[in-house]
Amino acid sequence: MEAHLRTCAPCRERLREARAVINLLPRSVEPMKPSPDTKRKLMARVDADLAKNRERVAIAPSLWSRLFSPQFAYGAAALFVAFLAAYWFVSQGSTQNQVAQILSNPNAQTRTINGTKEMPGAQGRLVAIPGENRAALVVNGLTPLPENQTYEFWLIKDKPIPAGLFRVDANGSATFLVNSPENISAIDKLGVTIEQAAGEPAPKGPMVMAAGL
Amino acid sequence: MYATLSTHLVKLPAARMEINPADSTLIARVAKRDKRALELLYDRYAAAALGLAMKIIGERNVAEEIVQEAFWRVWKRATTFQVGRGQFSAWLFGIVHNLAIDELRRRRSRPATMSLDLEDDSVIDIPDGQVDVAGSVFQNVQGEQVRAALTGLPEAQRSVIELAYFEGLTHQEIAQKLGEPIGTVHTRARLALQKLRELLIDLKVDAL
Repeated sequence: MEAHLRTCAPCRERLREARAVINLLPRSVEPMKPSPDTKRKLMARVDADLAKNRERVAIAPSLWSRLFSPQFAYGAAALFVAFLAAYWFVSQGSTQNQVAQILSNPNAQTRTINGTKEMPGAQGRLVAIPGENRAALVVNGLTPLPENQTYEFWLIKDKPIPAGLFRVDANGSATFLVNSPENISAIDKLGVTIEQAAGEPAPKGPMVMAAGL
Repeated sequence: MYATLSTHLVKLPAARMEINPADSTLIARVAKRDKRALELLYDRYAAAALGLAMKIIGERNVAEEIVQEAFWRVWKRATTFQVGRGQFSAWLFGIVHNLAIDELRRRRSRPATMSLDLEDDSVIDIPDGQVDVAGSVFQNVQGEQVRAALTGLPEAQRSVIELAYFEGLTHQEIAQKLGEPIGTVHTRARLALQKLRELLIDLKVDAL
């Protein structure tokens, strides 16, 4: 049939028409709204995939370039640097793995955090496993900042607790591990501000994302 | 507390507004691993995809798994999608359809072991020829129009189309099920597609 179609324009046209009709058939069924859980599971898989790739793309080349760069290729100094690099690699990998574990945990609970009027396109969620002090913050739609500035995440209970600095990629996305001094479930409110690159012990800059405020 | 902080506002470019970007734009962004673009495509098509999966498989939790898996495959294979050779919606519905039909066939052959094989990549590489049509009609055509056209078919022709598309039966299997000669099934399928096309044209469904 394929050989015939290659040489017969009318048949190719009839086939094209038939396919056009067939491709319309999905529209004949009534749409049904999926449960929010389906989307949550999908995005958790995507987040875990992104975290895994960041680990592979960003961390591994850095390690190898350190190990094999000429300035570190001599004697004990090189071994020492290799040791440090290996330690760094393992600790970073561990962090990424923790994020991936949290995001793919079926018991994880999600709190959304939205952009304020300063950055209305921003969206995010804090994913935490009940009873644990760690969580994964996933944000997107934030504007990449200049080098001298950073985003700072705040857990707010009575007063803001600094919970980590982060930068976003060119797409405005970031995923990072949050370590809280207390159970995440006990935290009332969340916030993200723009601060100077070193971060601040208390928020000073504009708040660009908030939850519960 | 934070009200006073706004006085320190740093001037920033306004966040990019995402007002109804085209599917082709979104899938290109997904190919660059922009998960927000995937989310927008999901919001746009998940309900239609679930409706299709439910129509075929008839079981809500399995249909939801199929939808999740279909969008996961979109995420993983977005770089293989060629905008110029087909429409995203047709590609997506092709994936959903194939996943659901595969699951249906699996159930028919092994009714005691019902599970969605999420590792089966057989539907990922759908030949371009199967998805190179339908065009932007999925964006524009109202479902009611297509349903009306299907309803307008003679019962015998409609059942052949539905058995083939929504139950994944071959013409041979349809002939056995209906107790009709296979030649009759072929004829009804051809006439049904022809009639359906005419009805859709009458209903002003373009891109056919």
